[in-house]
Amino acid sequence: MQYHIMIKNLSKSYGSKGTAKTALSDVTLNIPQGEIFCIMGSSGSGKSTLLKILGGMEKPTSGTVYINGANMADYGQQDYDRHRQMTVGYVFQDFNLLEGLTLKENIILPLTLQKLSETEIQQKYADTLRCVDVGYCENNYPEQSSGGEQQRAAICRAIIKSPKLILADEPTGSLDHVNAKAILSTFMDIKERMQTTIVLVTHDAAVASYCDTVVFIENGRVCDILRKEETAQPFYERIVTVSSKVRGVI
Amino acid sequence: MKKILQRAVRTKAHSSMYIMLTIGVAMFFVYTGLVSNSQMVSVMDSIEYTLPVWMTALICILAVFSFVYYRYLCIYTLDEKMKDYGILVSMGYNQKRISEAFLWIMAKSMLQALLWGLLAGTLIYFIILNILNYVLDMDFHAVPLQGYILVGAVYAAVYLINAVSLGNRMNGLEISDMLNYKKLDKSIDYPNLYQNIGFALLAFGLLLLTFKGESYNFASALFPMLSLTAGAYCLTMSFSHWFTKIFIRSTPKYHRNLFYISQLRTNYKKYAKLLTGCTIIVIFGLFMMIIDVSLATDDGDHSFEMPYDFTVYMDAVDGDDLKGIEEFESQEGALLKDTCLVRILDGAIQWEGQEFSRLVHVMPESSYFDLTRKHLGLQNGEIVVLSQIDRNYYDIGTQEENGMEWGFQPPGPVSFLVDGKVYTRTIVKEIWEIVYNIEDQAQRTYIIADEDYEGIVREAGYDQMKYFIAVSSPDSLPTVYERLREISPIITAKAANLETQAQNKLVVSVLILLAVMLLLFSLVSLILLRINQDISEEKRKYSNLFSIGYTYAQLQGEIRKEMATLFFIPLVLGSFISIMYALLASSRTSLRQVIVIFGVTLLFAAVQYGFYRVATRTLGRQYLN
Repeated sequence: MQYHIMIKNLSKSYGSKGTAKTALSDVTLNIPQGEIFCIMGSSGSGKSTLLKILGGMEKPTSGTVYINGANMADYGQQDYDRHRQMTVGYVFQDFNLLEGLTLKENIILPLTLQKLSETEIQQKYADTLRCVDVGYCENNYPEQSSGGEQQRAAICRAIIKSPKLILADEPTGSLDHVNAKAILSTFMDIKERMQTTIVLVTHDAAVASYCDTVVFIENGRVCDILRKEETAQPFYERIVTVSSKVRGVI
Repeated sequence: MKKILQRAVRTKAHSSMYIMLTIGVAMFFVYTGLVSNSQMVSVMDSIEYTLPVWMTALICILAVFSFVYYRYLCIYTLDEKMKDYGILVSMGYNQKRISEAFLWIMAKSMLQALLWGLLAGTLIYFIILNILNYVLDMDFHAVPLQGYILVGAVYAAVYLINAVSLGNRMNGLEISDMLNYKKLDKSIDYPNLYQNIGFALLAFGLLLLTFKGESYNFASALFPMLSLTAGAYCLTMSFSHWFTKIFIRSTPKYHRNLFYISQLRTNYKKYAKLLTGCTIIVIFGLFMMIIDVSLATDDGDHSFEMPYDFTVYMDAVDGDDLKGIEEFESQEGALLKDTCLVRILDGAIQWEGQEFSRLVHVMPESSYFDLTRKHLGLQNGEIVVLSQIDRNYYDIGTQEENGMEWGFQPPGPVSFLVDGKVYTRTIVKEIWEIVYNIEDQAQRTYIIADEDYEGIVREAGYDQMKYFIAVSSPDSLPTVYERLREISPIITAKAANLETQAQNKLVVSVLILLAVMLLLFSLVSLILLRINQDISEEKRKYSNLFSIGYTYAQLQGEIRKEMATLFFIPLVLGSFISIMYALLASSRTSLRQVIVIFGVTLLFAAVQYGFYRVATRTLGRQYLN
């Protein structure tokens, strides 16, 4: 079945009535199956909050989110737990690997929650390495690995459970240009092989130009949506123009 | 500029840590004040002869502990600020000035703790004195000047030593080290070596205890304890290394505990030294408690310690008293198993260069014969020391000197005081036998020639008699007691006496327990301070786990696992060593001793469990917020 995310009138506020801060306000979006979908905005625009709601880490104040036809508002706590365990893979800007585990141990960590046998875990691990190769450094600890290796390990951790949805929050934010490009190529590879929907948050137009759709969020609201109809460079220029307009520079 | 520097250098308050330090100062002062009050020492001695020794030992332990506690407090406070100091130095501030400013802050905090502690300690001290004055009908009033001086000197030394050490540490660091201070690897080198040495020392200590042989002396007691304690040190320091191996053996267990393994590999090294301190405190604290509570509980078997049920005290025996005794024996003969009227004078000897304060009995050979039907053949000027300890029950270390085997007093001249006059005689022998009721195990009896005794009695101008009675059945006790009151009002009953001794030993137990609990609380507070410093980093880890798919229940389970490690490893390792030592060191272990051992251990476990619950709940709320 085609995977489809529908967000309708989504709002999120923090704090009590007098001091409430609105992170998202009336956001409506459709995210097609198997796309790399980019959410772009400046710091504090609400993009990471949207990602957390999609990831089941936070609940919206109002509005609905449908993932594959299921309304997340109907989720109980167990449904949220299953959503995070099975449906979603998360990739963070600063990798968030556990320092006391090797890269391999970090990668297989999500599978330990699913009570799989040793053989199944090893099989899934081998399958993951075919998509993203970190086998040569799997026994290193994060502090012994480069930024690129750590982020690839983090991506492996996200995809090892074969999620339908990958959420990446500034995945190239801590990387240099070369490694950032490599990571983005990895995401494109994953999209092709696994038909996974990838929602990626960034403030970098160059990164956004790799995506199929770019949504601009500012002050918690959707300001514009761009679909990629051309090659990367013209798309990048369109993104820069719209981004500047959204931020009120032009 | 100076104010900006002061604000930048200022450390976090950590009030709870300084409250613990203040409590430590107060307790240290109270114990010191009591021990330096000679009136108090005499009373303590009369309550329980070991009490002054325990108090002195506790003071020494508190002094050492204060040093260690304050050192860790300074180190952890410095850890929090080192990066900030590095930033200041990198901007151009003078490194030495910054370290001086930091040490000045620590000095002010220490001074506050000292002043408040002395104030609280003084209050507690005088409350204790007033209570004792009321209960014991005494007149204690001495101001503990020595206590103030000693406490001030000890804490000044504690501060100065730490200040010099920390100052050197700060001034010796490069700027880049200061900026990356938190990331410095503080794990031990060669954990495998620590692990192997730890297990070897543990096994060696247990072997020494198991095959300790016939004679049990200071060395045979000390070496096993040293070996076991050193083993515990090595094993606690390398705990994360060898404990992780248990999980790696089984793949399902390994997978289920991946995060816990990660925490062992990373977090544990931060707490290793503190946990080692906790383990050592548990070893010694538990051991002291076991010994003392064991002594304090009365198993009802009095036979080998006090052979008579009643002791009646009389100053000399005139015709009427003798007649009263004869009537009693003829009328109550059926209720009596044994009686003996003997002469015993109260005396005192010097001990370890102090005044004549250690009580002794002085007895003529004829009284000894009446009690035992044994001749000693003493000449005038000779003393046989009677130590009333059952050598089949207690392992008494003895030495050989001039052909004499002695345990408590060597052969040769000795002086003793009776009625204000000092007599010097020569010890020719020491014997171990329980022949009559003795109130204090440490008290010895000097058996001298009859003629010698008569001379002392003449000079003193009085004679003392003790009438010992053993009943044939416990049912006769009340009747006999009432009849004996007709002879003399001064009677001690064996059962009541032993109960009082046991209660007095409980007083010692309470003092030990207070000191041990203070030590444990303080170390636990340091552990919690350390955890608190890394809260944001730990929160991030748990948030990370949540994003992977951990449920709240699973996250709470991980927190519980980590806290259980911190709070129960010292208890498990420490209590294992204490219990094994207590069981193996004793030549015979009764059911009562086993009950005492496990009872005291459960008490410690309950305290640790309390810490564990509080820490788990608090951290659960903070990490999973």
